[in-house]
Amino acid sequence: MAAARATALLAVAGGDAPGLVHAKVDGLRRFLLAYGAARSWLWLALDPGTLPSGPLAVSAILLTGCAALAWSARHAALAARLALAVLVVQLAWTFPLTHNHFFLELVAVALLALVDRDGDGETVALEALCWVTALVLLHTGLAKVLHGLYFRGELLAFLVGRGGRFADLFAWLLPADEIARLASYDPMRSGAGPYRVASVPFVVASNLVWMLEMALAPLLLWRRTRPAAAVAAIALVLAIQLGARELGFALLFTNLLLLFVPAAATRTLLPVLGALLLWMIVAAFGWLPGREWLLTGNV
Amino acid sequence: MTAKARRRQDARRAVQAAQEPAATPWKARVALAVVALTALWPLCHRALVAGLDVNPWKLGGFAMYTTATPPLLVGVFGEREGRLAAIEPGTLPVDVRTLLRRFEQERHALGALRSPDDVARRVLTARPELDRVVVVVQRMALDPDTARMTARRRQYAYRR
Repeated sequence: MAAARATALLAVAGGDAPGLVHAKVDGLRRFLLAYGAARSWLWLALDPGTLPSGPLAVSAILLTGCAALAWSARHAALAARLALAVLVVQLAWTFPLTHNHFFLELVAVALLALVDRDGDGETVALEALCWVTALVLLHTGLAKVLHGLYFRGELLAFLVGRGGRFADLFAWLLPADEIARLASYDPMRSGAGPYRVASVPFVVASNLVWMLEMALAPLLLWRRTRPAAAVAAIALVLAIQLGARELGFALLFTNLLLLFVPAAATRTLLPVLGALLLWMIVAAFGWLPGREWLLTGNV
Repeated sequence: MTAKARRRQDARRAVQAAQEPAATPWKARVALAVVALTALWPLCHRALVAGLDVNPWKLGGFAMYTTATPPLLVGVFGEREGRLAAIEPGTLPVDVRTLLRRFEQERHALGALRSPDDVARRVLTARPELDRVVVVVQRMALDPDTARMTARRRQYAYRR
């Protein structure tokens, strides 16, 4: 009875035909395991010394093996379970400094690990992945409301003042003298500020961020609005995360949002995603241009 | 199709999905538990941020880009014959310096959940001439009411 209720609740986020469910789960598994392998190589190349390089290299090799296994129908289910074990070890190494998107990756792989070789658990895993994605989007908006630093653009003004990644995204909405004023404050000095600006478009943009995040989350679950909400959420996530050079989160979350479109989009995009991940690894080791750009972002 | 018919069809689909013997029951329960954790943990995380100064960017609370998190300032002071003076980290043994660096990183993530007890104990061992060690942790925060930076300071004192 409890299991039936659990299934019914999860099914709110479902509704795809079994063939499409399989294609979506298979595509996401292939992407996620490749993403996990690429992330581990990037940690190794861009953050030497933060983690012990020997064990980290071993985990990167293991995750690369899992990514390869995910392409074999016979071994794909096993690949997700092996990858989950490696991710748990990586969590133990990085905790408590672990990035939030690592937790999301771990949860997604844990749900994919529920799927058996014969496909048992695919529907439940996909529905739960959709729920998790919508909930994360809702919480990112809700957290901004609860901290109260978006209503008058305070946090964005602070980030513009600090320069760096986020500034490029919103600074164009402010006049140069406002940017100079925000940059003149020393954030390590008590009383520095105020981090408030007169620009109406800037304040509107600040409020649109949390409003869209919170509004799109339920619209992703409602079947009628799902495709449109998915497209809007992907546009929002790519604009914000790529602007902030949060490459890891942008890739991961975009592919989770693709679960809401009525096609196996991640599977279709795998060649492009694979090429992108491969370039990131090669560039991170300095064998292709782009290492400096990757170093300014967050993977 | 009218809106009413569409709603009826959605409800029928949900009931059908619930009746399908698709996945093993334990998988549905585990999946629902993961969903419930994702729904509830960020709220607990918010309470930890508010009460114990946990970093919103850490511990899976999905509260990145919600607050300013400038670097933490950690000062270690030693008292000898009633006089308190700052201890320059460079003058401490390598293992204590490493521990202090780790403390700074972990404290930045965990807030008050990470106490400096082990750091103070090691400093007292490394500096037998000290009667007392004081660890001061200062974190800058952006106040939503004034939009200005405020310092949140906590002090920990340890007697030999």
